[in-house]
Amino acid sequence: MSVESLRGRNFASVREVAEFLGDGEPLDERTVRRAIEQGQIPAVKVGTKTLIPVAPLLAMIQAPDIAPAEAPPAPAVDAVSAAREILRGALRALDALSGYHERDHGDPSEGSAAGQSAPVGGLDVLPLRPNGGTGAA
Amino acid sequence: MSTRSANLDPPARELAAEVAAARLPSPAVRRRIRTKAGIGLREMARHLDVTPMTVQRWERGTSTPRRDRAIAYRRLLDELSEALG
Repeated sequence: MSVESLRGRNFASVREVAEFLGDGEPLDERTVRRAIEQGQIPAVKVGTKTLIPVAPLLAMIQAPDIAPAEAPPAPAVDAVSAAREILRGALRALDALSGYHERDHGDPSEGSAAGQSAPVGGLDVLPLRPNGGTGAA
Repeated sequence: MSTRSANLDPPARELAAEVAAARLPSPAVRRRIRTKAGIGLREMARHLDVTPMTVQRWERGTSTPRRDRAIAYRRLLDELSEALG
């Protein structure tokens, strides 16, 4: 999914945006949906469809093109790639944070494997000793 | 007397705000916004919890949504037209 394929269109689907931002390696659609929920990507929900306006998306991607007048103009392709890389990094960080949250707090809707594997909470349930020591002294 | 009108003011203001929120663009504009956004009658109807035929009637101007639906319809049309730029 290239800039040109989105240009001239009003809206894109979540899948198309995931492909577009992934640049060859599509992002998970859930990553895009999460970014929408957090207001990082504007979207309009109509019935079961999620419509992502293309203009703000392209504006976000092409923002690095807006350089100071004295700066030499960077090649457009590099600027797009750089912006894409930044956005992709942010979305992956969001994914990682979300995974951390689900591991630690156990999101039942996301399956139980992640929740079981995390040894979190073990220290919290250790009984406190009155002397604060091990009792051997 | 003045106390009574002061008490009635807030509900009257709320009503005026509701009426304003339910004010819809012309039927032709409703249809234009939907088609420009590439949304089908069915999807629009699903969002508004009505039948596609009802949305079609609203777009032809042969019927008008009641207040709650009109507010939801207006909100959706506003969101779409804002997104369309």
